[in-house]
Amino acid sequence: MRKLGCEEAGPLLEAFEANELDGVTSLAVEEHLDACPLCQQRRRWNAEADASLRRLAETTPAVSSGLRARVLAIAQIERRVIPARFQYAALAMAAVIIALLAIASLWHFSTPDAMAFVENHISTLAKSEPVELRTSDAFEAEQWLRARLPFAPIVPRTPDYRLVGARLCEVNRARVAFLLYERDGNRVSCFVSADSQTRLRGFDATAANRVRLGTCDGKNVAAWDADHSGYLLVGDLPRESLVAFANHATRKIPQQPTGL
Amino acid sequence: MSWSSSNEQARDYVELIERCLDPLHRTALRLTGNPTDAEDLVQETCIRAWRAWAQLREPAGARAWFFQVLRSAWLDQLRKTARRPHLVAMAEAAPEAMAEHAPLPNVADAAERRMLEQAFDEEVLAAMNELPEEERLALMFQVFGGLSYREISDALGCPLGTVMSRLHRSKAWLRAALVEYAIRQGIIARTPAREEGESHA
Repeated sequence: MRKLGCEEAGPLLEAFEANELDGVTSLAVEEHLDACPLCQQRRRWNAEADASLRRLAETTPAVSSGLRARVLAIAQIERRVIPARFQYAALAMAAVIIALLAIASLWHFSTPDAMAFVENHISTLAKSEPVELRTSDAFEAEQWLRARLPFAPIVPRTPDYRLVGARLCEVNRARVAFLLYERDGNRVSCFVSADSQTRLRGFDATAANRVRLGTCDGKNVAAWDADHSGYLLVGDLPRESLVAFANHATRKIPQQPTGL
Repeated sequence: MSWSSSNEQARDYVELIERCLDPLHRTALRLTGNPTDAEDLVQETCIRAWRAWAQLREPAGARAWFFQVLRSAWLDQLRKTARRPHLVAMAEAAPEAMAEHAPLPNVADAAERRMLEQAFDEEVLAAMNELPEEERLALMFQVFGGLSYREISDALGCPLGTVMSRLHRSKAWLRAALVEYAIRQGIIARTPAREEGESHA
């Protein structure tokens, strides 16, 4: 075992007296103490200081009954206080929920709704001449629209509805094609745009073929995507009829021979 | 420790705080120096401890944890009252009189011994209050709180070696105070200075 000098043993005296040293170090300190009168005297004075400290500890009054009662009541009084860990978790959760709600409402209110199309449908049908191009030929309507729009809309063909004509309009700050169809005196507006309209506000159901359905201002609306375009149908027809129209419209259209 | 209900939490808290209340109070009384401030400090400690109860992982560490909270409350109190805590450690060499190496004469007479002890107690108490705050806390936690070195280390948030050196310096300071007193009272004579750290082994 290595012998300790005063400079090593001195700082260990207090831990030695408090039995806080490991066995080997304790033996080394003990060996040093046996041989060192200087450290023996330090130890003696330490013992005097320790005795004083013990006496001070013994004569320091214990807690009063009043304070004891108050302190023990803390847990009862504040029982409903949520532990800090859960408070932080709850705060974090609340912050996340608020942020999500803010994002959702931002998205909700920044998203245009289908109502704009319904309003356009109503105002257009109120005109004496609701279409600019009066034709029942879908191909002709397509050519007319392609010459005026930055995209190439496909005009839906459906045996149950007769195409009345087409016009251009602006809805939700976008230029779209307006197609008017008629069946048994019921008129149906079909809007064709370069962008999808299925994410507009106002839809509450989804039918087959991913056709979104909704009702705005008493008018049923249906929207779907096909041929890189967005379609939106408005009319005084039941939803099933709109779905049937959409199903026809999404069928593969036979290619029109070129040169016609 | 599980937190299945607030009743269980309250029961655990009461059980653990009851065991630590007297040591906390004794430490607080010696830290503050007066009973009213001590009671305020203990009460503040207990309120903080209860509010942060979930941070206590192991009931076995409760004693050190209560003292950690006490330390925090005490340092906050010092800051509030603009009593700047003297946190910097003293220089390694405490003003130890070299006369400490003189043996303390045996006082056989019981009455005389009692008077000497009383005087020593006052000197020790005064010297303790002159210690830098962290050394004072380490010493008080040991003496009045009954904490082990490991618990002091946890309560003060410092390594075990730091606790050892803080307690060593504290005791050296107290020892020096006693020696100075003994010299002033003519109990011992001042002996020629010897080199500190000189090896005799």
